[in-house]
Amino acid sequence: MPHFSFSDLFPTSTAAAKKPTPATVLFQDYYNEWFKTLKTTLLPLIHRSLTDPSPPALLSSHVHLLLHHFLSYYDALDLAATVSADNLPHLLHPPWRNSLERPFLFLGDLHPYLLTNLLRKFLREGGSESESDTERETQTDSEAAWQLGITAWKDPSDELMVKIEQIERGLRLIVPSFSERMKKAQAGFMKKVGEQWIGTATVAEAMKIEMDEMVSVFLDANRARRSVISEIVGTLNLYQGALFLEGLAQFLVGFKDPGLVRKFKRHRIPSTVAGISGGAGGKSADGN
Amino acid sequence: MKKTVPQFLWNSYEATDREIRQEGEGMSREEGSKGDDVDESDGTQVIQCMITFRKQDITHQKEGYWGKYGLWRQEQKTRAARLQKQLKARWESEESIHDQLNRFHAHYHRFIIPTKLNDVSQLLMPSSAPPHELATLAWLGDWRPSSILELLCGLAHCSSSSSSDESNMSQLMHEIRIEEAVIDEEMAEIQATCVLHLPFVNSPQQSGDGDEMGCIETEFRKIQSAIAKAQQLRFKTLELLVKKVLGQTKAAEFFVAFVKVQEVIHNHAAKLKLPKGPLTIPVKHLVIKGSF
Repeated sequence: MPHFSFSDLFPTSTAAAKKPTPATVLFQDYYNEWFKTLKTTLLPLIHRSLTDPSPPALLSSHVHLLLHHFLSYYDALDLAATVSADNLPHLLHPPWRNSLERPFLFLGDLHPYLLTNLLRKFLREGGSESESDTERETQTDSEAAWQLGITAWKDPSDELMVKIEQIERGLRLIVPSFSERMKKAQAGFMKKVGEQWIGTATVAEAMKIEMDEMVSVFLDANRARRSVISEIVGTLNLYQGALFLEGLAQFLVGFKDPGLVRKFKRHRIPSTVAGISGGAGGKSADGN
Repeated sequence: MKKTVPQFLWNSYEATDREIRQEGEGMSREEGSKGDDVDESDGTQVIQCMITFRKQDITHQKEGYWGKYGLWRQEQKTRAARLQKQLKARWESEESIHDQLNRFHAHYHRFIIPTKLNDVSQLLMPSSAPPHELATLAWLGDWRPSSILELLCGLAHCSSSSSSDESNMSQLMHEIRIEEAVIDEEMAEIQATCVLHLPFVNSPQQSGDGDEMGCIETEFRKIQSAIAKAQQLRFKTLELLVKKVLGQTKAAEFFVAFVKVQEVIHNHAAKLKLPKGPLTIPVKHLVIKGSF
């Protein structure tokens, strides 16, 4: 079974490996390798396990691999943020994510609620499509997999629903505090700059204090994402867990579909739409 | 008595003005020598310290309105300098304040009309703003409105103000924070539910050919709407500050201070992007030193 770790992703020579000093890697390179492994190895692997009859032990092993892969990314993000607070601004607004994906990022990655929403999506589709889809005669490979998925989500147990609600409740308690802490850190920065203004020195000092607090928020957000993914997979049965992780991987891979990204970059907003201003009002400054 | 920008700050601004200009010019030269990140359509020197991450952004900046962002900043500085002169001569006029507000209005509203979906991402995370600037103060692509008020509170810290001014300020802060929270909720909802609407998770329900861009466009329109509301709130904050909290003179002083603080933050953030040592060779990449 292939095992992917940082050292596999970035093999070092024997001589280099003996050196006591740690290797340095560009995060962008790490991310690209991480993503490539997800897209070209782990996603096809779990997809095959789901569509072809596989022994549960094999499926379980693939689920474990994919789960570990997701969790390792959050470890890498944490590492990057703790090595130097100067890395944080790049992690919050990652240039290695494309312009299609960036607007949907919350504190540099997926919004934690998105994970439970993905789970709800499976449950909803599994519950509502049962009758019409059992009548399908011809199926593509992906439709067959989806059919199997439907079966997996049918009639979820009360126990499962209770656990999902617990996870959601936990998120509702913690996620709003991330935004609040971020807001307070920004407010604190601005107040300090105003109160103790002597120029660049004030900004530098206030920025450092703010970045330290933001690192703490970022780490907590990653902890939340990591623990929700683990809890969800732990709560679901093997097949459901595999489908959930496959869906999560598909979602991330979808943002980088080359054809779609090309279309996205060319896509013009119709002028009638471009003109919307969210109820802009456009009230003039002179009170007209 | 209206809220006052303390005199010692005023002197500090004058003293640091030269420093700001020098920093800006220094960075312009350094970044200009890289030749790949600078918006060449912008004729200004001081504000050319924008750093972008990818070469393809240059073309985009040349073509799009983001190429004008540097001009906006330069124009802000020019106006602030003019206001400062007027303040010194004690003949600042109501027209100048309205003119300044009008410029903010035009700026905030000009930027809410992207022509391509790709521009929406730029609105949220403008490549003209260095990452440290974005992380420090950005909210949906620009200053958080309550941060503008926090800055004023900080600047006015050393001065006396009447209880009615305090009350006006406190009420404005309360109101703006509520509106900010509503927009935050809206954006969080988009980010949390996009998995339900974007056609990436395999499902025959969503696999209609040709509809992918429709789904994406719908989500981006929601984001665009949230950005537009944020821009309006920024303008509303400035407008209410001028009309309800600050008098004419204090408003002029605040505008001057606001522009200078923006400059210092921008220049300092740009400086933090420059290489610090041999391990961080390319500026555009994040380097992690760890046990990989």
